[in-house]
Order: sequence, then structure tokens, then C-alpha cells
Amino acid sequence: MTKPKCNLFQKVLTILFLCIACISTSTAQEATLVTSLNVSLGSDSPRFKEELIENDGKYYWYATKVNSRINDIFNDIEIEDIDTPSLGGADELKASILIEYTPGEGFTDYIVFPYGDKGIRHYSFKGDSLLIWSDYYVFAVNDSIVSGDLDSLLNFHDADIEGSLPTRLNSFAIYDTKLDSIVDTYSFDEQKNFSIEGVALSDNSIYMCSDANWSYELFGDTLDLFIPGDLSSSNSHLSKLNLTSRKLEWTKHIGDTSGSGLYSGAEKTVLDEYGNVIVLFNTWDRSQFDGVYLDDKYGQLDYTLYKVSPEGELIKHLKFNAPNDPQAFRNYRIEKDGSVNVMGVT
Amino acid sequence: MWVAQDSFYIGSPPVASLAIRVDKDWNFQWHKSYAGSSVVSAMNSTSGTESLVFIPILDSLILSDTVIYHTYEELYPQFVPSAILKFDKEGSRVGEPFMFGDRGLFWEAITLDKDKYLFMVKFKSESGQFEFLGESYGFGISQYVSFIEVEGNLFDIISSLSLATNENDLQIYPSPAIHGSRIIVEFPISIVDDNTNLLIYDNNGLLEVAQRISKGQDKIVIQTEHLSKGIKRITLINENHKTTKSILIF
Repeated sequence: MTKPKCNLFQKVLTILFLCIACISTSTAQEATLVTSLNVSLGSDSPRFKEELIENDGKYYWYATKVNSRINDIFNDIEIEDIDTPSLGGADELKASILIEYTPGEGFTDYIVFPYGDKGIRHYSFKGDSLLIWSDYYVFAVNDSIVSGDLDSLLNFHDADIEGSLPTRLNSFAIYDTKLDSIVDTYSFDEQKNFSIEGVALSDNSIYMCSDANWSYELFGDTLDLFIPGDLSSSNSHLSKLNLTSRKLEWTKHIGDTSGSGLYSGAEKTVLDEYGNVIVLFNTWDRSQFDGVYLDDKYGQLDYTLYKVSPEGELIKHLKFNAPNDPQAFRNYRIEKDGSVNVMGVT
Repeated sequence: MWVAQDSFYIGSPPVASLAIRVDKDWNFQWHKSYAGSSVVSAMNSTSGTESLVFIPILDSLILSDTVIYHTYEELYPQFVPSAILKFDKEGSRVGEPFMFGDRGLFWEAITLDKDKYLFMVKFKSESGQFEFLGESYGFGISQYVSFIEVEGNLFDIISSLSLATNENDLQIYPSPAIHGSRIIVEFPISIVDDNTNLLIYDNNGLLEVAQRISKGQDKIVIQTEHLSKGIKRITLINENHKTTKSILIF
């Protein structure tokens, strides 16, 4: 085939096209690799979470099952020796850790929770403050014991000593990351089947999602069942604790109406940049807030998102329903502005 | 099937994977569904105005907006990369899907700033070796996690895989072309192998044509009446070559 000759009209169009192409490509900047850090993971490596927590432009990576061998996998920072006392045999009381990653610099700092492998349940940043919540027999941050009795715990596991297990505690500490110091602590005895399912630190308060299958005490208040006397009626609460008075400012029933703790629970508790608290709740039954049903559907494996004002008023809720797929919801991300990304498979 | 609120139905067979975007006032902005026999999961991270959605791909990827990106078993029999897709706040895809590695599993893809990204990727021993922006990955360690920071227009690259390119390999005429007419794309017979494809993308990166090229073929005739008007990027690609040239259809 003979190639056709260009006429004047086509030449003009060609020049116009080349100008458009030049403009569109001149703004493109070639992609370059800024940093690349590799962390090798062996069979006895720490267990790292598959997410980073952002705070003031830095990113934090949490890991459990940590001992001093963590230095073998981090070349950029040197982590001080971590106390991992023996629990008898080859077992050791391992730690957990928050590794700080600074964009443009790499791994820049860390906070160790000795003996915290099984005990650190939640953490939440607010500026320079880090709230850590533990429900173990002993709770420590870096080289400071916050609560609990380490000797009694070790003696209990020592075959040569007839000791008793110390009381399990619910404790929190607020750690100032600039001062590298604990600035506030609190602890109270374990209650039967009680658990804190999520925390979010605000300026002078902590938002907590708590749960038990019975009435329970929380900072001096009795938190009752959804239907008093009906053990299958759920007892999940969202509460706001005033850090100065150590009293609950308010508490609200949240989640579904079924026996809580079996299939349902709060999976995420965070604050948006406007001070609203957002709770993602895995619901098995009708979802409700403060005793008011939000829908009339008996969902299974559903998710309900709650947005609650600092005063405890429900601003909005969303419900995601995947009744036939137990693994429909794979991941979700709540952004600073309160927007939500939901990922899943069906 | 998923139902988000009462009025927002998403997902029906054969949808395999979903990404849903809800704005700060909790209105549903957009959702994307990804089909393909082995799309296993998706994650997402947003910086207010844009979203990154990433998908480990094992063979193919089909989007709900009927865009078929690639069928990797055909294009790259030895590679099964992951993909990161970038969307604006309206849910329109920005640039090209960014292909990365071989069975890498993204844990995080964060937009740090304009054209600045932080990726946290987990690689396993079967990830194979590959090169990404001059750095080698996939070195004999059973498992590792990489923190990778990238600057620049990442989503202008169709693939991170190292392929020979030469724009002069493609001769397209007439150029510009009138919508409805035929265009002819010529290429050296020597670069065509058994797994060569011709792809035509619009200016937003949406694939409009995917045509298999047979070995021994040195040109193809494209009917433009089925294409939209505007700038098209025509790519000839196989596992050894990738050649792209643009044309205006008016």
C-alpha cells in the first residue's frame, strides 16, 4: 500500500497535535526511587501488623513476639537489649514494639513494651501523646513498669517456686513521645469477660469501646445490658472518659442487640480531624445506638459504621451487608477527614 | 453480593473484589469491582483528593467499567505482577495502572505528597527476581517487607518491567486520522513473537482495543469508527518489547 501524502489541513493538525503532546508530557516528572529499605522475616521473626499508623507525618509499625534478635532485621536503628525473662523451658516473656518510620529518612525511633507480647491491646496517638492500653499481668513502657507484678508472674511459671498468678489488670499509660516519658497512668482489676475493644485519645479524654456479657463497672459507672436481665441482649458501650476527673462524661450502648462477644464487636475506634469518634462494629443482629434500633434487618456478618459527636450524639451511620460471605470485608481505612475506604471480596 | 445502605447495591457474580469510597460526609462517592479468576484482595489509601487501589493479580484484571487492562497469562507468561490504580475523587482513573513485581503483596500504598508515594510491600520466596526503578528485589530471602518511597509521575508508566522500547518501531498513518477512517500500524516483523499484542488507550488511560498480533505479521489495519475521538496511545507489547506512539483521531 502506498502511504498517502499529507495535505495542508493534515499538516496543521499534526503541528497542533505535537504542541498538545509536548504540553502534556513536559509536566510529567520521571519516577525515581527515593529510598528502599528491606526487612527480612524468618520463622522466629517478630509478627508485624499489616498496616502503618500515621501521626504528624511519621508512620508507626507495630510488632509482637519481639526479643533482642530484632536487631538482626533492622540495620538502620539499634534497639537496646530487651528483657525477655524465661517462663520455663524455652518459653520467654517476649515484648512488643512500635517502630517509627520517617519519610525521607527511614526507621528513626522505637518504643518498646517489655512483656507486652500478649498484653498490649490498643494504642492511639494525639500529637506528641501516645495512649497504650494493656490487659496483662504486667505492663511496661521502655524501662518503666506501669502496673502489675513481674516477680509474681515469673514465680508462677518457675517450677521450683510455688507461686500464684497475680491479678490481671486493665491499665493505660499516656507516653509523651517528645519527652520520652510516661505522663499519666491508670489501672483497675480485671472483670469477668470484660474487654476494651478500642480506644481513641483526644485532648483531655479517652473514647473507649468496651464489652462484657454481664453488667460491669467502668470508672465508677455501672454499664448494664441492652435489655437488663437478658443475657443475650448485648452489652457493648462507647464511653468518653474525662482524664482530669477520671469519670465517664457519657456512655452509650452501641453495636448490635445480640449477645455480644460471640460473633460481634467493635473492630476500630478512631477520631476524625473534627473530633468526632468513628466506630466500626461487626454486627450479627439489628444494629442500634443508645438503645434505638437503626434498622430492622437481622443481618449476619454485617458491618455498621457509627459517627458520634464529642457530646455523644449519633451524627450518622452506615451499614454494609454481605449476608452470605463470611470474608467479604477484608480491609478498611478511615482517613483523617473521616472518609472511609472499604475493600473486600465477594 | 454486598449491600451498602439500602439503596447502594454493589457486587454480583462474577465480581471478585471490591473497593468502595465513602466521602467525609459519608456519602458514597464511587466503587470499583474487579473480576478475574484470581484477583485475591485489594487495599486502599487516600490523601483527600486521590485514592490508590492495589490488587495482587494472578492472571487477569477486569474493571466494572468494562475496561480489560491485560490478561497477563497471555502478555507475560512468566510474570504475574500486582497493580496499583490511582483514582481521583470522582472515581475516574488517573494515568496508567502501575505494575509492580511478581506476586508482591501490598500492605500499604500511601500518598505522602503530590507525586510522592510510600509503599510497604511483602515479598515471598516465590516472588521471583525483578528490577524496579534501578533497584533489585526478590533476593533469595524467604520473606521480607520493603519500605519503598518513590517520587515522580509513577502512573505514567504502563509497567515497571524492563522492556526494550523504540518509538520508531511503530509507523502509524495517516496521522492525524479522521474518525471513521482506517489507520495502519506498521512494525518490524522481527519484534513480533507468539505473545505480541497491540493495545490502544485513550488519553485517560482506558483501554479501547486489545488485538493479538500473529508471528510473521508486520502491520495491522484498525477501524477507528469504534474508537473515541482524541489522542490515542498505541502500544505494541510482548515480553521483550514495548513500543508506544500517539495519534490524534478527530
